[in-house]
Amino acid sequence: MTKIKWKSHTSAVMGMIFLLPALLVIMYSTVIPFVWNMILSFQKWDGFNKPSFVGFENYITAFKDPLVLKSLWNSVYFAVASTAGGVILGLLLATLVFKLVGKEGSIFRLILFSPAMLPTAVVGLMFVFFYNPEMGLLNNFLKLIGLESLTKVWLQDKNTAMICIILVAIWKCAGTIMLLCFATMQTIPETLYESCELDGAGYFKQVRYITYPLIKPMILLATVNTLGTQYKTFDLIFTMTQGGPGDLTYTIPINMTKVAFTYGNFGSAAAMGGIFTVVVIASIVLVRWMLRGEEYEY
Amino acid sequence: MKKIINKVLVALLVTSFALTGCSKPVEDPAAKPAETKTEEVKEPEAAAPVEKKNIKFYGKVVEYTSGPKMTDALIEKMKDKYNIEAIQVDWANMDKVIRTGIASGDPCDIYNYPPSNMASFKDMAVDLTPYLDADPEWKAQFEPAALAAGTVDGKILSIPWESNFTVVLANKKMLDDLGIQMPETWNLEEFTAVCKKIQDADLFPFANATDLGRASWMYRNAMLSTTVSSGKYEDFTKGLLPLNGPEAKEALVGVKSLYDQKFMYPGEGAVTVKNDEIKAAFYQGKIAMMAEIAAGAKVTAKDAGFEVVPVPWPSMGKEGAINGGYNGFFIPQNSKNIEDAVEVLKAFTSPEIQALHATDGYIPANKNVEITDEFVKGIVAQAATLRSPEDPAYTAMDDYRNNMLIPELMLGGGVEDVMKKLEEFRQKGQVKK
Repeated sequence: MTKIKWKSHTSAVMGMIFLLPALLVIMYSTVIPFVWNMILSFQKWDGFNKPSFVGFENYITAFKDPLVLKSLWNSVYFAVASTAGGVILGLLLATLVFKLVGKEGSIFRLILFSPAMLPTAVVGLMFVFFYNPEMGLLNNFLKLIGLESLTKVWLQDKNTAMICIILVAIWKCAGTIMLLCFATMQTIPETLYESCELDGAGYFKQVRYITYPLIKPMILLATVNTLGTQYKTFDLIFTMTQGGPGDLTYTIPINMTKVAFTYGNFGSAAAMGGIFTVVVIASIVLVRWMLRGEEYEY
Repeated sequence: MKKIINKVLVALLVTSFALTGCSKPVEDPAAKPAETKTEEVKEPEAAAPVEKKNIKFYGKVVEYTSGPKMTDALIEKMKDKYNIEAIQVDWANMDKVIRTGIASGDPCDIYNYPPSNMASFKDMAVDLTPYLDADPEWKAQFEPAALAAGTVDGKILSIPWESNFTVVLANKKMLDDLGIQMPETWNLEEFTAVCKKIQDADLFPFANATDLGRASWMYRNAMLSTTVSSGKYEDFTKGLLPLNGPEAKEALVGVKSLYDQKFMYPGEGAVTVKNDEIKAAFYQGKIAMMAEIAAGAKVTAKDAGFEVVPVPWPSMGKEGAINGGYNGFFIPQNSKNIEDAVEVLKAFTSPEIQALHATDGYIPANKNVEITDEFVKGIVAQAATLRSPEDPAYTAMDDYRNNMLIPELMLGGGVEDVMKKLEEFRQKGQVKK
C-alpha cells in the first residue's frame, strides 16, 4: 500500500515538474497582465508619468459614458449572434458531411474549413470589396438576378452594418465548429445507428435522438470557445468598418485600444477591460447553464 | 524498473536543456597569452576602440521606394559611431507603438510622427529648440513653417523630414474626353458644375477615403479656405475662432452638398468607403478625381496605367487652401541616448540622404535639395495654397474629425450637430490650456 502511495506521489511530483514551464509561461503572459490590468483600472496613467490612484473613478466614468455602453452592447450583440450562428451552421454542416465517406468527405471538409484558415484581416478586406455598393459581388449579383431593389450600402446602413460583419464572422468560425462536432460524431458507435434504423428511424431522427445528445459536451465546448473568441474580435471589425460609421459597429476592444493608445488614458481602458471581463464571464456561465444536460457514456 | 529509468533519463534530458540555455561560453585557455616572468618591453598603449552605441530608429518607411534606401544610407554614414536599428513604421498603429514604447521605459531613440499631432506627446518629447539654436546651419535647412508645424507651446518638438499635403489627382484622358479644362483654382460653384458634367457621363466625379485618417480632409480644407477668405485664419490657428460660426457653417454646408449630390464615390456608400476601394475604382476608370497624399501621388499615378495629373483642391471659400504639413521625427524624453539621437537626426535630414528621397519622386523637407521630377514638380506647385498650421486639435477632437464627423454630418444630426460638437471640443481644448 505504501509502495502504491509512493508511486502515485512520485507521479504527481513528476507531473508538476513537467507542467512548471507551461505554468510559468501562463503566469507571465496571462495571469500577471490580468492582475496588473485590474490594478491599473484604479489608477490614472498616461503611459509616461507616474500613475495616480483614483479609486473607482474610471469605472464610474465608463458607466456614465454613452459610447462605452454602446460599444458594450455592440460587443455582446456581435459575440452572441455570431456564436449562435456559427454553432448552428457548424452543426448543420457536420450533420451533412457526416455521411460522406472517402475522398468526397475530405474535399468537402477541406472546403468548408478553409475560411477558418484565412487571416482575419484579409477576410475583412475581402468582404469590404464584397459589400462595396458599386462594384461589390453582392450588389452586382442582386442586380443580375433582377433584385436591384434589394441592393444597399451594406456597411453604411444602420440596419445592416453590424449584421454584415456578423455574417462574415459566422462564415469564418463555422468551419472550426463543424470539424469539432464531426470529430466527436465519429466516436459514436455504429451499432446505435443500426439499432435505430431497425426501429424505423430516418437519418434526421437518428441525428436528433442519438447524435446531438451524445455530442452535447462538444457542442458546449465549441460554443464557449467560440463565444470567448468572438468577444475578443478586433481585427475583423476594424478592417471592415473601423467601428463606424460613427459608433454603429464600435465594440469594446476598439474602444479600449483607442482610449489607451490614441487618448493615452490607460486607466480608463483598463477599467473598460475589467467591466468587459465580468460581462464575458457572465455570458459564459449563462451559456454553460443553458446547455447543461446529462453526459452519456458509450 | 524500466519506468523509473525512463523517468530519470527524461528528467536528465530536460535539466541538460535548461542548463545549456543558461550557460556562458567557456573561455579557451589556449587563447590567453601565457604569463611570463621575464620583463618585456612595454609598447605604447593603443587607443581603446570606440564603443558603438545602439540607436533604435523608428523611421523606416517601406511604403516609399526611398525609405529603405534612406535608412541604409543613414546606417552606412553613421556606422563608425552607432549601431542603428532601423525599424519599419507601422502607420496604422503608430500611436499604439509609440505609447507602448515610451510606457515600457525602453523606447526607440527616434520616432517618426506627424509634427502637427505632436500636442498629444508634448509632455513626452524632447525640446529640440536648444539643439537647433546651437546649430544654425542645421536649422536653416528647414522652412520656418516646417519647424512651426512641430512647435507646441513655443517648443520645437519635431524635426520635419518630408513635406506632405493633400492633393487631387485626375484622370487626364477622362477630363479631356469630357471637354473639361482644369483651372488654376476653382470654387465650390465651378467645381459643382464640372462634377455635374462628369456625373452626367455616368462617372463619379470625386472620391475621398474615410480610412487612414483621410476622412477629415474635406472638412479641414474647407475650414482653411473659409477662414482664410474671411480673414479669420490667425484666430483659427490659435483655437480662438468659434467652430459654430459662419466659417464652419459655410465649410460644412459645402462639404455636405458634394455628398448630397452623389458626387462622391460610390454615391450612397461614400461615408464608409476605404482607400483601397477608391484606388481600385480610379484605376478602373470609374472616378475622375481622387484625393491623395502628396507623398503617395507618384506611386498612384505610376500604377494607374493612364495619364494622371494633379489638379487644385476645390475651395469652399473665396480663396483656396489645403491642409498639410510634414512627416517628422521626435525624441522621447526617456530615451537613453538623446544627444546621439540628435546627431542621427542631423544625418538623416542632411541633403545627402534627403536627396535620395527627392530622386525617387518625393518631397523632402530639406529646402537645399533640388526636385527634378516633373510630376513631383507639378505636385509641389499645388502646395502654393498650403496652410500650416491649422487649429490646435487635440486628440479627442482629431479622432472625432477623422472618424465621426462625416458620418454624423451625413447620417446623423447634420451641420448643426457637427458644429455643436466641434465647438464643445474647441472649448474643452481652451480649458485644457
